[in-house]
Amino acid sequence: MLMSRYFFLALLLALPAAASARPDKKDAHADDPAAAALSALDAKPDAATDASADPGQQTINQEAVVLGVDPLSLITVTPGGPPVRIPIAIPDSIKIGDNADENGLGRTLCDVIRNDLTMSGLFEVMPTETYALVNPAKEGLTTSTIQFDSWYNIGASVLVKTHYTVNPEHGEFAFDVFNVDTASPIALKFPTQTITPKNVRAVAHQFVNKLIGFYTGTDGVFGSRILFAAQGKSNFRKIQAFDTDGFGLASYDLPEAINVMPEWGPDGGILYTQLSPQGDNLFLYADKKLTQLTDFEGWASGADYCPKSRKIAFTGAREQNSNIYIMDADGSNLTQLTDMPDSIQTSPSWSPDCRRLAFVSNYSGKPQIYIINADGTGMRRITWVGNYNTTPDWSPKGDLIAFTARDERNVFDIFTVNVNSGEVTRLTQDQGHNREPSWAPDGRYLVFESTRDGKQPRLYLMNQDGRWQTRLSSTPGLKTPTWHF
Amino acid sequence: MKKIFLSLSLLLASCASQEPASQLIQDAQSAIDDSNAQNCAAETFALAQAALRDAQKAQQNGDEETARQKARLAQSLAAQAKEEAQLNAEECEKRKNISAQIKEVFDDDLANPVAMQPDAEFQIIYFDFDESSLSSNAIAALRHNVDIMKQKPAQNVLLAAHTDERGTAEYNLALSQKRGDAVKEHASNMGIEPSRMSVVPYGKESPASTGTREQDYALNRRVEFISR
Repeated sequence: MLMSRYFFLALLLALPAAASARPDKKDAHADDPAAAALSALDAKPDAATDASADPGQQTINQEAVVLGVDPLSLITVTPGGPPVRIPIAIPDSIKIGDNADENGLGRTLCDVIRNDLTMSGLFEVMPTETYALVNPAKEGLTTSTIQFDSWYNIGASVLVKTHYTVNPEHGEFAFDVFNVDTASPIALKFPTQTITPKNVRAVAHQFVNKLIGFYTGTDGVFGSRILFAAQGKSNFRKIQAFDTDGFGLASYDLPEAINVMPEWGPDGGILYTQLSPQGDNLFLYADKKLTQLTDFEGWASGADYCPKSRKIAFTGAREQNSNIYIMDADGSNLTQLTDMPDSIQTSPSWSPDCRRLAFVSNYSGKPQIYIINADGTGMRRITWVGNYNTTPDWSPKGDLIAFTARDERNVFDIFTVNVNSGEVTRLTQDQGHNREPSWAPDGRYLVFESTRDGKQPRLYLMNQDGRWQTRLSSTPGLKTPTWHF
Repeated sequence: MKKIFLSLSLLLASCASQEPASQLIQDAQSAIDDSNAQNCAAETFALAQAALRDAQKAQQNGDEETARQKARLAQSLAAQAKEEAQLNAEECEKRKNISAQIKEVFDDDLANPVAMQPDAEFQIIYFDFDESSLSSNAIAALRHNVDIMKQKPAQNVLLAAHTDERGTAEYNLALSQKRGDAVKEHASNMGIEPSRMSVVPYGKESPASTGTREQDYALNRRVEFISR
């Protein structure tokens, strides 16, 4: 019996996610390297992409690909083996007692948990319709009364059961997680929670993060904040943030202007670039206080803050030539890091240990990614394919730098380069233009802007290998996202 | 085509009966007001305005004949400007929108109390894709702007430099700066003190047209002269 159960589970894990037919091209070929390779050569715009809405998108020059005229075309999205996701069942919360759950706390809690786990790419949430086989509303809460055989039969190997009592203002929720295969509880330390309409989403995220931590050794990052520039009135831009699932949208109360390229700053504040007739300069908004950090004759933009060293790196131009500068969090101790003549240097991104920076330079003629030590030594170029590589973002694990590249069709896509080996990997392909990637603090995901669903960019999430691409918000015109560190 | 039209108008005008100069001046004024051409037939429009001023001056000096002549010239120039504007209607409309947008931005800019008004006299300098060098059209537009600056030596300008939406945010900021610098350098070679011009790069963040057609991109790759 046990043998067959595990054999079945192994089969299940080996099967592609056939049930959840995602529009993601990469996923479609994840189980079939041959199909993916063919598709890479035959890289026509995805049927799901509205090619007519995007005249910049053309079919790839196949001859160029075959002859290898430009190496960037040869780098295509590659299958990474079958997705290994843990099948999990999350039945509705069971309410104990007669008080009505007027705020729908139980439903919201389960919806957030299911959504997060699906987005995580680590779990496969079994479809709720199939739970009828078990009739979970009538099922007991203890190991001896749970029908593990039935849960097993719908394909789940993990079962999350929540139950709660409702007081007029809030609910008391208990969380139990079971290993279906061994018919036993797992030792996830997640105590009973007092849940209100205000904190229900946050608690659900915390639970998911703990569950991910239990199975992977590193807690998840759901419920953390993503910062971005949004369209304001007339030609203005405003700075906003929302949670990893697009909920909890908030606008920063800044003077109306063209406010762009936000980054997380010191002490819970944010850094951004204001474009105005007075010049382009950096501002810090923290504790409801606005501070202008730079006053450059030419311009200053694109701050990146490193929490460990409390230093801000940014792009500055005293006259015509832009270079990389570093300063303290309050704008003092300004030092010029690069001194490259007759070229553009922009977009610094700190390594996680604050000892190195990645940046863009067109010193070679076209923009490429370079790295340099924070003391100005050891500069070297690390991208050698393509002719438009910009927006580097150094991963929290330190091994990869994500960036935006323009390929031969003038289509923008997201790639990573391995800092040590220089190996370049493509993460997006044939789904509109994809730009401005930013790593999640756990290094598992990237948030980025894409025009796959319309002319104006929207924000999307994907796993670090390009899998499980999910739209975060249907709002158009959201740009340059950056994930909280 | 334009020349034929102009001479035809003059011919018709000269055949007309002797109307009082005041009437002709009034007609010329309304033709100019009606031409709707200051944005895209700027040169002809300016000539019409100049002819009208001459006519008014002549009338004040009691020279009825010259006043009549100049007023007729102003009227025909206004008609010519109107035709030019209609031929170029699409771009004309876009430019008016651009002016309106800039006005809105600077009128509402709470962070920047200094009022920034676009000067309709100035022409917008447009660039080719991926280019920061000036085309012959761009040089012609720049020469026009340089002439205005020479006439008004006290006036300084802001060079607001832009790219189209392709590319990434910060690299485009740097590219727009290069366009602004190129305009500044050319204008300085044409005799304008560099200190009278300051470049502000806007990258792709303040498009004149939000569409994604080639013609939208073409309108967005630009440097605008703004009086300050």
